Parts: sequence; structure tokens; C-alpha cells
Amino acid sequence: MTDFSEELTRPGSEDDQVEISAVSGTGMHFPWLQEHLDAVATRGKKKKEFAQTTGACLSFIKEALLKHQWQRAAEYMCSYLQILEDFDSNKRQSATEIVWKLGSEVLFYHPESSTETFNTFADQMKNIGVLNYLKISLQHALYLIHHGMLEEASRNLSQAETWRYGEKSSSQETLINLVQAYKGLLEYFSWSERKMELSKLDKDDYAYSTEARNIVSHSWKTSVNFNALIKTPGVWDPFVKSYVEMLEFSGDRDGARKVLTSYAYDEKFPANPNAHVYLYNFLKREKAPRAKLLSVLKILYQIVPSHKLMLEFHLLLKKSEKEEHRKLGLAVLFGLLDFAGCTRNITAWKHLASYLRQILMQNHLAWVQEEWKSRRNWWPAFHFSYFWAKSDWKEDKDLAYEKALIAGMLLGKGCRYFRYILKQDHQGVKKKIKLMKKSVKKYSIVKPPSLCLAVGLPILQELQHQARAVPPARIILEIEELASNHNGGQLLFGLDSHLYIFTGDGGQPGGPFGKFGSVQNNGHSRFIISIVEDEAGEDSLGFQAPAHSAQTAPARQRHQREQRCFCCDSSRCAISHQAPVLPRMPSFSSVLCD
Amino acid sequence: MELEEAKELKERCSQCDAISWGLTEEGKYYCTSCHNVTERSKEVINTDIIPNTKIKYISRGLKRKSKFEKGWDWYVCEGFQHILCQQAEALKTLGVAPEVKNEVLHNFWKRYLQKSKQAYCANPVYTSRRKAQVLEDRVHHSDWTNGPELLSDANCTSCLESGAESQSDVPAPKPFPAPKAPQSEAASVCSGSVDGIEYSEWKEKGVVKMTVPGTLALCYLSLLWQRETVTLSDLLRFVEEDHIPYIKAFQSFPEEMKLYGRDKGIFAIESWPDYEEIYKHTIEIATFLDLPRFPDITEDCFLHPNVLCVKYLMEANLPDEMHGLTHQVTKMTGMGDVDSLTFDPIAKAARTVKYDVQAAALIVVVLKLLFLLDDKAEWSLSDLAEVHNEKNKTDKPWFNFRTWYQVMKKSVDEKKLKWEEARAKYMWKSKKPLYFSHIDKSVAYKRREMVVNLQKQFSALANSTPTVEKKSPSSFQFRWAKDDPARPCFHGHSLQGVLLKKGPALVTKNSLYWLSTQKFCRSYCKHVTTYEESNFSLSYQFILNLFSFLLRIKAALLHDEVSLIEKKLFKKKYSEAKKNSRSRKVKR
Repeated sequence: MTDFSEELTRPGSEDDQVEISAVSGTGMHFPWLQEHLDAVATRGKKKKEFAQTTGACLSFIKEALLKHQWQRAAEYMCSYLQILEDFDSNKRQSATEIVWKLGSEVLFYHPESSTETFNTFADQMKNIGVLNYLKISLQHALYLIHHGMLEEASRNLSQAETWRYGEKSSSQETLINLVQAYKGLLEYFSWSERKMELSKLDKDDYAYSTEARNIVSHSWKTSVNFNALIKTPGVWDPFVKSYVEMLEFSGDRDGARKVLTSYAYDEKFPANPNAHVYLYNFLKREKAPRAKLLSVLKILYQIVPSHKLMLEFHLLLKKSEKEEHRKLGLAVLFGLLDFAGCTRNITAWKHLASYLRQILMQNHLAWVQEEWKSRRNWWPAFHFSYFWAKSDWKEDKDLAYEKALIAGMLLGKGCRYFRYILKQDHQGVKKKIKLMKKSVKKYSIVKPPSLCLAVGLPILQELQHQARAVPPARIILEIEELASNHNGGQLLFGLDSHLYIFTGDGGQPGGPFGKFGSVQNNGHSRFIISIVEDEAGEDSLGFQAPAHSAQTAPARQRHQREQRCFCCDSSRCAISHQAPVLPRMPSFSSVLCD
Repeated sequence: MELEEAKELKERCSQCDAISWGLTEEGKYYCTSCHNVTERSKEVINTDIIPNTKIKYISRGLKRKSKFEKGWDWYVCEGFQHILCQQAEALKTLGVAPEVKNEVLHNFWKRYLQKSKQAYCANPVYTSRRKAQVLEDRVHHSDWTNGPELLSDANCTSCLESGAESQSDVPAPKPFPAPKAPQSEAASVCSGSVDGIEYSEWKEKGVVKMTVPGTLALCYLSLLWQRETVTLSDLLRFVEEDHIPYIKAFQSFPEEMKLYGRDKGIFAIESWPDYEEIYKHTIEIATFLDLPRFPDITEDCFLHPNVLCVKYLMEANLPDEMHGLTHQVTKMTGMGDVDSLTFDPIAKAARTVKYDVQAAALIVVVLKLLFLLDDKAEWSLSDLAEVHNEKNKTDKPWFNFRTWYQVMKKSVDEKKLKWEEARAKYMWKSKKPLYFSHIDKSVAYKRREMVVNLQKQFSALANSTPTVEKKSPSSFQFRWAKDDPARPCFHGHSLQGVLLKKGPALVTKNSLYWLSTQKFCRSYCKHVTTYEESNFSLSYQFILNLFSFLLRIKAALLHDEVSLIEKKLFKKKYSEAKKNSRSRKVKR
């Protein structure tokens, strides 16, 4: 019922268009012209406060509805109804729809309204807005269904079905189809009830066969109702579902398949994940070959990577012989866990843990790295933060173990999540922990970084060697080096306590930002990167700033601010203790460009 | 009952010779024994049942009924007369002297009919227009030149009381028997009144056509003539509160006066009366009627600023002591002069004073003199008053602008909200639906019936207690009481906190003043100044809004009036100030 109100404004806009085209005549649209004409028409006349009153009344009704003051809304409805007597027939037309929507809303929620009042209201409204007859009867039927009066609803629908007013327009046609489909849905309901009763009967009983025959014939009759609607493009999930069920019951598998395939693959229909789900379920029931199932699920994967069928998809892919499929299996799991709704899905994590181990055992490190590359920046904060470690451990220890294993494999054993879980009390599962440690050690994909601001890392490693108190190094930013010159140079803390990294632009001599203008082109897009850590940041060395834009990273990373400055191709600089030279870069006296 | 009524017919039935007659629905006799319907119909004898005697004339004059609508033939001016009559009746119940209706309004209306050549003249406008058509029938109506004599008829002055009987003797809008031209036949389809179409197309230079807002202007004119205690804003407020028929005034037309087609454009009103519009209308009509100078507005009249200021000071909950100051300002500006206050339509530039707006503006000026209203001075003055009131609880309390503001703001906001809600709930459509032609009639009636049904349904669901009980009319909108903590009264508070004693005279503590308008518009666009809300201090805005809500006018109108008063008040001071190079300082 609440959904109706969003259409409230529509009829008005339609009217406007009609008026405009009527004025210009040639089909051209001059919105400003219409305004001028209006101004001319009303200049001599007095403004009509009738419209003002009804407008104010409408806004009061809306306010009352929002505040759930049904009595007050009814009170204003009383005076709003006068709009049905407006001299302007256009306004009157659109008013009937508004009155119907507001009125049905009030009657639906008002504590003192009953089905009788609603029925009389609906009947009256049907006769006023003849053009809205079908819509109103449909909504009336929905109201009756909502109150469990199925028979009345069905009677209502059959009345609407046979109703005709003038020429049948195309919009009316879909509505009539819809009315029929709803009628079919009601019949389907009674059919499935009978089916339930049938399943209780003994199969050898004499009554069984006659009853079964009855039901089959009933389903034939009902399915006719759906036929017309399903052919017109749209989202008809409940109808398709019940239609297919009845077709299957009567043994018409080909028909059911045809319906489902056209529903899923016809391009005229809007993209609908459920269509693919239904098709998949049907094929599964039919025990179709795996390739077919895979092709259906592949489309679903593209539309909804977080669908729960993705786990099934993963299992199917895992079993496949093709390498390509098995690689996709990994991508499916990673994709599933990208979504916040799946973070606590223990089966997904379990699958991922075992599959990761399996893949790494088969030496497909590249696959893992490929998936990990895009997630490296935000997964640690998204899944493996300290907060998650604590809450996971508190709520679901199994999940915590699985996640810890994965965190260890992906981020190395220095990872926060992994260390937190290890530190906890593990009575009784010592073996499990041991195994976990072992596999992390064996399969961790974190190797000494290949090229990573060579200036910074050795120092940290040195530090790590000297004192164990220093936390392990973490890669915060990695820049590919494409050409042999214009490389990164210096790394220093400015007086503003920002860490400045001078990256160079990795370009080629001669062509300023050509193919190898890497820093320019590959998302780092600026040449000096400064990173500052807020006091609120937990990490002692938490330069965790996302290298890409902050949009991909979850919001919890807001502790760190990242600031980038424009400066051409800088590799070195010196700190000035005097006034800043460049506005955006305080405290540098000179910036060296090579 | 029917049979009893039918006993007066003593003829024998032409078919069965029985004397037992019944009445059909159309008022024809039929024989109860053989069901033979005669051509004879029952005469309307009993005139008591007709609600308005004016109709008597119509029923007397016309037995002919229109083919399409079974109603009387009536003229547009009769419709207006009916409305006027009811408005006058309503004014009488509001407590206005009965002379307003019987003498003043009646005479104004007659004068209007005469001036616009609709009646009481040798050659009424209708006849000249229809001359060609009805030439042959004119023989019967040779006696209609006696109209003007009726005006001088002494006994006529009292007859408006019993409906518009005088009108019934007016021969001018005589019905025109059987307009034979097909054109006029078609015309009668499109309007319920006889001359609806002609009236709406009637354009004659120098003639002010009567409209429904025009009836209000006429009412106001007669109130002004009688120097009644009703201002224009009061009148319009009574209209708004439904004490005076205006918007659906045609509802009370007798059943037989059918109203449709073109009449709709004439009688159906879809907007509230606007102060300035009615004001303009008043002057227009007064000059059109060529009225002599109105009775003088002297100091003891209600409309004199001295009296009106007291009323608005009470209404706005301000201290009585302010009246002395308003009196002084009135004197200094010369606004209390009889000549400037009295309305003289014959004068070269006919203008009347907007008495109510002027009085409110006077109070605003005095408030500005006392508190400056620059969002600073008034608050520091109220700090002083607060401290003083704390210390001396037994004395007469000093007027504290802040507490006054808080009280007024709250109650005005409440009132405004109620007013807006009432406006949103107003039912514009009459019980009698209006339609363009008889073809639409059934549709319109059906629609009406349906709306009534729906309304019944929803009103059952609304609050059981109807919140819109009709308020009894009052010229005061607020009630302040000393004992009521929610509506405390400031009337008795003293202005000592803002006045200083200097020799024998009192001087305002605040010695500054700012002008609402520095430069007046001298162009021909007729407006004096503009009011851009954001340019002014918040307390000034609040006070303007308060008074404009009380008077139901636009704040800009009040601002204009304030500027005009200041212009008069500081004319002398300006020249002095120039000499002393002390501009914009006023000391009294």
C-alpha cells in the first residue's frame, strides 16, 4: 500500500506534456513558452485560492500520514475531497488518483476502519475515475488478500477482468493481463492447498487418482491466466514461479523450460537475477549436465556476485577439470566475501581457507596474487582489523580460526588478526592451532617485497633486527617502476609531521607523460605523497593509507589522511625551517626535479 | 392531502363526469377515477412559502417556464440584490444599526442601478439592447418610465427590510416575453439568469459592473457612511469567519433561481476578499455613484485614529500608557484632522483613509520611538525593566519588551497555525453544484452526491468532536487576562523604564530613530516604497507581521503606511536637523 504514493506526481507531469505539445503544435517542446502563456492567461484574472486551499490541505494530509495521525488525516480528507468538484477537468482527473491513494492509505491504517468501509470507498472510487478502474480494482483485491478474504478478492478480479470502457488501450491491456495473473495466483493458491491434501492421501486409495486428475485439469485452467502476462516484458517472479510449478506437476517439462529460458534470456525483459535462479533450480531438479548449470550460474555471478548460490557455483567450479574454471572458483569466493553481508558467512570462509590451501599446494600462487592485488588495500581493514578479531573471537570461535588462517596466509604471520587469535586461550584445540601455524608458515603468500620504496624498508628491517619491540613492517604503498629513470627518490618527514614520499613520475626521457608516465597514469596521479597519522590511529606504524582513492576502501580507514601535492617530477627536496615556499607543501625550501 | 388540495376544482371530468381530482407531480389535475389528465394546472396561490418576497414579483410577472430549467426568469442584478440583502441582514445580526440596511445600503443600491442604467431610468440598458427583438411586445410595457419616481418615494426606504420588495416594483428589468429569435433561445441554455450572457459581455465605458467583491465594497461604503464601528479589515475577517455571506452567497438563492452556465462566472467566487482590492473597489464605486462628502469623522468616532489606536493597543497587548504617545503623534502629523479623515468621493483625487492600517502604523511608529527596534536597544531596555521588576514587586511593573515578545510570539504563532488549518479545511463548493449547461447538470449533481457520500465516510473516521465550531463574531481576536498565566496582560504596565523626566515633559530614553524608508518612490507606479524583509531588524519584522496578521493584510502595506506617517512626522525635523547637522535625531 505504501508504494502507491510514489506515483502520486506522475499524472500531473503527463498532463503538462500534453499541454505543451498542444501549444507548440509542431511537436517541439518549449517549456518556457508554456510558462509565458500561463502568465498571460492568469494576469487579468484573480488567482484562485481554491487551488491554494486544496494544496495546503494535501500537504496537511501528507504530514498527518507521515506522523501516523490517521484521524487527523481523515479530517483533512473530508475537505480535500472537494477537489473532485474542481472546475478544471484536468485537475479533477489527476485528483481522483490522489484521492484514491490517500484515502486507501488512511482506510488501511485507520484503527476504526473496516473492510466494509474500504469496500464502499473502493467501489465509489472505481466509478469516479473510470480510467483508473482497473488499477483500483487490482489494489482493492490486494487489500482483500491482505485481510485474508481470498474469495472476495477473486470475485473482484473476475469483475475487473470482464470490464471494458471504450477502446482497449495498450496500458489497459497490461493491466488486464495483470488482473488475470493475480486471479491465476489466487487459483494457484487453492490448487496448492489441494495438492497438500492430496499428498496426505494414500496413493493406492481410489480417491487419489480422481483427485489427482482433478488437480491436473485445474492447473491447466489456471495456467491460462498466466500465459498472456508472462509474454509481456517485466518482472513477474511470483507468477512465473507458480506457473512453472503447475506445469511441472502436469508433466509439461518442455513448456516449463521454455517459459523459464525466455524469462531469463529474452532481452526485452529487464535483468532479473531471480529468473536465473529459477532456471538453475529447475535445471538442477532436471539433473541437467554441469556445463549447463555453470553457464546459468555464470550469468548470475555477473549480476549478483553475492548471491548465496555462489557457494554452489564455487563447488561446481572446483570439481571442474578446466583450469580456467578452477581459477574462476577462487574469484567467486573472493567476490562473495567482498560484500558486507557475507562477512560472517562461515561456510564461505571455510571454503576459501581450504581452497586457498589447495591452490597454493598446486602452486598457483599467481592466481591468488591476482585476486589479492585489488583487495590488498582494503581487505585488512574490512575483514582483518583488530575490532573484527575481537568481535569474531567473542561471537564465533570457528569463524575466527578460519579467518585467522586466511589472514595469516594472505598478510603474513605478522598480521594483527592472526596474532590476536593466536594470543587467545586455546584449550582443547591446540592441534588445530599448530596446524594453522604450520600452514601459514608454509603457504603465506607474503614474500619479501619486490620493489617497495627501497629507501624505507631496509631501515625498518634493520630496526626489526635490533629490537623486537618494533612491529613488523607493512606495505602501505607500492609503485610499479616501468622505466629506468625518473624514479622515486627521497623519503622524509616534513615539519608538519607528514611523511613525504617523492615518487618521481617513472617517465621516459623525451615523452613527458607517455606510455611510461606511470605515476601520472596509474592512479597515483600525483608526485609527492604525504601521509599523516592522526592520534586516533591505532597502529603504531599505521601508514595504512589506501594508495588508490579512498572510495574503494571502507569508511573505517578514516584515521589516516592522505595528502598529495602537484609538482612536476620531483625526486628530492630539502626542508626549510622558514616560511613555506609552496602553498600546498609547507616547509620545503626547494624541490628538486630531475 | 393532495386530494384535499384538489378539491377546489369543481369541474366535471370530460371523460367520466366524476368530480374527484388529484394533482400530478407537475401540478396538473388528473381524474382519480379514469386517470385522465387535464390541461389545467394548479395556480400558485399560497405565497407564504416563498422565502423572499422579491420572488413574488417574478412569480407574478412570469408564469412562463424555461424549456430546459424549471425555474423563474431572473436577472443578474436581482442576484446581486439578493446577496446584498443577505449581507445587510448579517451585518444587522452583528449589531450594526438597522439604518445601514434600510436607508444607506438601499439608497446606494438604487443609485447604482440608476447610474448603471439598469433600473430607475427612462431607458434601461436591457431594453435598449433588446429593442430590436422585442419591439412588437413593447406595447404592453408602456408604463415602465415611472421608475425614477420611485426613488423619491418616501415609503420605499423601509421596504428593503422585507426583502428587496422595492425591486419588485421596479419596472425596468421586466421580463421579456417569449424571445423568439433562436439566438436568445440558445442563450437561455447557457445561463440560468435571463441576462447572464449579456451581463458578462457587457462593456460600457464609465460603468462599474457589479461583482461579488463589489457587494462587499458597497457594504463597506454604507458602514462608512453610518460611521459604524466596523473597519474594512474587520468586515473582511467576518467574511472569512463566515459571519457575512460572500463566497457561497448564491447558495441561499431560492430554489427556483437556477444558477448555471455564465452565471457561474459572475457569482461563483474562488478567492478570499483581498483588502486592497476591496479598498480600490470602494473608491471606484463611490466615485461612480457620485456620492457627496461622507459624514465627518470627528474625534469621538470609532474610525478616528485616537479611538482605533486604543483598540489595537488592547488587541496587541501593549500598555495603555502608549495611547498618550500615539495621540501626540496623531496631533503632530495632522492625521486627526477631520478633513483628512473624511471620505469625499467628489474631491479631485478621491481617496479614503485606510483607518485600521493607519492606526496600526501609528502604534508601530510609537514602538519605534520608544524602543528603536534595532535588535539591540529594545533588549537592553528590557534588561533594565527586568531588574527593576525583580526589585520592586509591589509597584506597577515596568513594561518589559522581552516578556511581551515571548507571550505575543507564542500566541500569534498558535493563532496563525489554527488560521492556516482552518483555511486548508475550508469548503469552497456549495451545496448547489454549478455547471455550464443543463447537459452537465446531472453529472454535476452526481459528482456532488458522491463527494458528500465520501465526506460522510471520512468524517465518521475523523475526530468525533468537530473542532471547527463556529466562533461567535468579535472585533477582538485575542483575549488577555491579568490572572491567566498563559495569556498575561500588559495593559497596566508602565512605561517609566523607557521615559525620562526632563523639566515638565517626559522624554524617551532612546534618543535615536531610524526611518523605514529613506527615499520615496516618485515614479508613476503608484507604490510608495518597497518592503524587503531581510533589510529590516527582526523585531521590526515581528511587529509588522503581528499587525498585518491582525488586520489580515500584507506586511508591505503596513510598511508603506509606517513610512508615510514618518514622512509627515519628520518633515519639520528634517529641515531643522539639516540646519543643526544633527540628522535623524528626534527629541520630544
